[in-house]
Amino acid sequence: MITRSPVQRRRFSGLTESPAMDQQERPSPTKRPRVPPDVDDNDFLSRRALEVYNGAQRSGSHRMIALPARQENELGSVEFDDVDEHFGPGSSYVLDCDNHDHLNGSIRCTYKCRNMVKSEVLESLEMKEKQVGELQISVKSLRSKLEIVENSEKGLVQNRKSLEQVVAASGGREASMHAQRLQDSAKADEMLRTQLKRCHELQARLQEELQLKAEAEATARAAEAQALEAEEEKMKNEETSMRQIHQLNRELNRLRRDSEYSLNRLRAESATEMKKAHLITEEADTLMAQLEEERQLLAQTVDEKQELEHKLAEAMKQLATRSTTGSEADTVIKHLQEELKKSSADVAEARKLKQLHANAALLKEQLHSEKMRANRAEAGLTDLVNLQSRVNELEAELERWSDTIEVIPGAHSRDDIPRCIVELQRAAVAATAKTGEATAQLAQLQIELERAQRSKIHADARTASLQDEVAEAMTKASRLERKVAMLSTENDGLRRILESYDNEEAVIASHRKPGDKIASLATPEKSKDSRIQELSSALADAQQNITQLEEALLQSNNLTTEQRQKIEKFTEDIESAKTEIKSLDREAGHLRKEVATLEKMLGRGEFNPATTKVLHLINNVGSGESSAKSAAVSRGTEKAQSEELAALTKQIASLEKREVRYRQIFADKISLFREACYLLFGYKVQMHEEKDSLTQMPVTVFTLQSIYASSDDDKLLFQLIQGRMDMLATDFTTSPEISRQVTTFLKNFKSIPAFMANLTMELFNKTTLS
Amino acid sequence: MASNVTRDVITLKGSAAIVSEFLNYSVNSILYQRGIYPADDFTMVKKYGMSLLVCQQEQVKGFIDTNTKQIATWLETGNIQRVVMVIASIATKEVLERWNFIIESDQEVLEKGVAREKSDKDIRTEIQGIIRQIVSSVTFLPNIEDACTFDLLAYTSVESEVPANWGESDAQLIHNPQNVKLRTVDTAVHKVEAMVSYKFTEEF
Repeated sequence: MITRSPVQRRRFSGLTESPAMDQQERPSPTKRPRVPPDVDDNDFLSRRALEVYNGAQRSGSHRMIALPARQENELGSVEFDDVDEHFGPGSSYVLDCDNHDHLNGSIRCTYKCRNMVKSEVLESLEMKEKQVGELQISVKSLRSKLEIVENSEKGLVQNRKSLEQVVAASGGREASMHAQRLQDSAKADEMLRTQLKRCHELQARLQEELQLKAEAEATARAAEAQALEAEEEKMKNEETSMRQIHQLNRELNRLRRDSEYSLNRLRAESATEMKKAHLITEEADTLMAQLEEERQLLAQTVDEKQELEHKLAEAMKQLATRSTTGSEADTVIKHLQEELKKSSADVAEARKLKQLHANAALLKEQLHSEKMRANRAEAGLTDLVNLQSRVNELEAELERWSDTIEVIPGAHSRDDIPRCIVELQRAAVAATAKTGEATAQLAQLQIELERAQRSKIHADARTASLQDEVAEAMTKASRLERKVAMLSTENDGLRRILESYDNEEAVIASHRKPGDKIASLATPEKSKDSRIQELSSALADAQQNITQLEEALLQSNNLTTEQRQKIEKFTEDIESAKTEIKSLDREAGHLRKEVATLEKMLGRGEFNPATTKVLHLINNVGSGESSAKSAAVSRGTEKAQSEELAALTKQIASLEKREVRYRQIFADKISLFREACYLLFGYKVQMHEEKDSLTQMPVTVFTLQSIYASSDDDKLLFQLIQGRMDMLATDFTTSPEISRQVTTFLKNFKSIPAFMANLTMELFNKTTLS
Repeated sequence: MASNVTRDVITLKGSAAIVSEFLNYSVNSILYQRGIYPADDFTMVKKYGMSLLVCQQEQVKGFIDTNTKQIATWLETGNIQRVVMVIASIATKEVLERWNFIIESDQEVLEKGVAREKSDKDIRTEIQGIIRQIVSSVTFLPNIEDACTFDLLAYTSVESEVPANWGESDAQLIHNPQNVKLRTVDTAVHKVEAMVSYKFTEEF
């Protein structure tokens, strides 16, 4: 085996450093331009260094020859190609590292040549020893430098640690930021949820309000329907009442007409009665006149009688004085006595006539009154019939009324109908008021609905914006995560680098030997510088990253604060809107009350004297009074008429009763009177009226039949015309026996009673004596 | 067709005539229905497609006619706000009923003299409705037992001049009235809202 010379070893040790040196070259910007133009990648350098290192390992001891050149190259900042210049043209150190056989041959050649050039070598050794001393000095200085560098390395390590701490802190911060972000996102989520909840609540409220609205509408419809029904009912009632009113009016008119008619009839009757009364009074006057005449006649006859008595007395005196005048005087006396008898009979007749006349007048009066009563009774009967028909009509109407009352709910009697109607109308008014309220509520609900919809839209917009913000935050978070990942990778790279440094240092420490002077030429300084630079750059990067992260954090914080502010604003808005809604509700209630009071005032007819004045016609008073008077008069007349009617009907009833009674009494009396006449005077008297064939005047005909008449045909007929009694000729009176009596009594003496008495006596004699 | 078109157009004057005539017939109907005057004083007249009763007593007729004429002039100027028929007892002077006819005039028509459109038939049916309500109001209004008189009050604007034979009056209000709203007549120029307020008594 080949023993290694210190130089070789050193070279070897230097060789081992080469990859690191190569790597150290990378960050230095000064050496960069020296790298071939096609190779400017750091990785290329490290790769190349690794290849060189591998080749050295593979080549074993031969590598140590190859590397000093490289080290020199490194130390003297000379390129690989300048090795020839450095070691001279005789040096065969510069070899192709890749060819192993060739290298062995060259070593063998050097071994042969060593003995030959020993002296030279010794000289060079001395020189080299000197150099070694110099180098040792330089090594010492370098060691001190190394110590400084180590110190600086320690400082760097500390720096690194601090950087690592900073990185860790930044990582922690990042984590805390992440956590905060997560919290924020969670808060945002919660906010979103709450907003969504609110949305749901609002939707629910909306639905409730819609339902309420629908209910209110339904109630309004129902109220309207009720109002319509009530109105229909009212209209029906109105119609029925109108009909009834018309009917009642008609009836009233009819009654008025009837009453007028009855009044007129009564007036006419009274007029006729008056006329009759006049007639009767006239008759009575005529009768009185007749009576007076008869009295005069009676007085005359009395005078005559007195005269005759005087004459008789004188005659008697004469008779007494003149007894000679016997027969003449006797005849005269007889005449006179006959005359006296006649006159006395006349007086009796006159008295009888007077009595009869009085009786006749009484009877006539009674008859008239009876006739009047009968007429009244007849009128009353017709009235009664009318009243009954009216009563029937009224009963039918009453039935109709009762039917209608049965139809109307809640009404038990006719008096209940107006109440019911009033109630219905009140209900209608209340229903309209309710509908008004319902519509007002509806309007309010609609307004609220609109508000809710608006707020919902706002909330939707807010949620959308919040979602956007959340998405932005998420993207930012992802970006930050990516940054964190990058930083961690960088950290890892830095750690790796540090580890590699550590390894290198460990290798250097293990391989450092006092003889390796050339190999350790300023390499640690360079590497440390490069490391410092690297670390500073990494630090700068990290600081940049930190600043970026801080900026991002600030931004996100700002965002979150903005969002919070927005949320606070929204909540404030919502609360203010709620308070506003409440205040509006209160205001609406006040306004409703005000409207109600104003409507009341309007209903009462109050007015604002600033804008309105009330005028009326001044000369209204007269018309009013006249109207009142006429109304009062009409009412008075109506009342009087009705009272009169009632009194008349009462009177009619009482009169009817009386009439019946009178009829009975009169019938009894008449029959009694006839019976008495028949029994007393012996004649059955029948009376009937006929019309005179010539004058067409009513004539009363009396048919008399004697109690002693031999046959039923033996009748006497008398007629009474204007207070004069004439006898009518019959078969019986024209018979020879009777005609003689007629001539003596009726034609000579013109005395019907004497004729009657004579006839009675004749017939009596005939029936009883024969 | 042309005649139909012209008939549906309503001017201020035409509207005033329609409203004053309607008021005349309404007052007559109230007088008859409330029995202020004896029924013999009224005669049947065909109007608005129904039979109405009009008072033939000369004084009353003259009074109502002068009132409605003046109201028509006020309607044309738009100065009238309300016509009230007051029914009061003669003996106690107490107001028993107030028949309100609240009148709203179209300001545009008054100011610019624009014509409006509304068919005669519609107006007639509206008037019919009110008069039917007046007739049927007898059913719920309390019975008038005293002898009564009536007066017509016109609520006019303060600026309007007081014509001859007219004077200011108090409103003749009822203390605790019961109000029943009747229908409205709208001629598209004047809107007449009818309402009766009467003295409210608890017992019937």
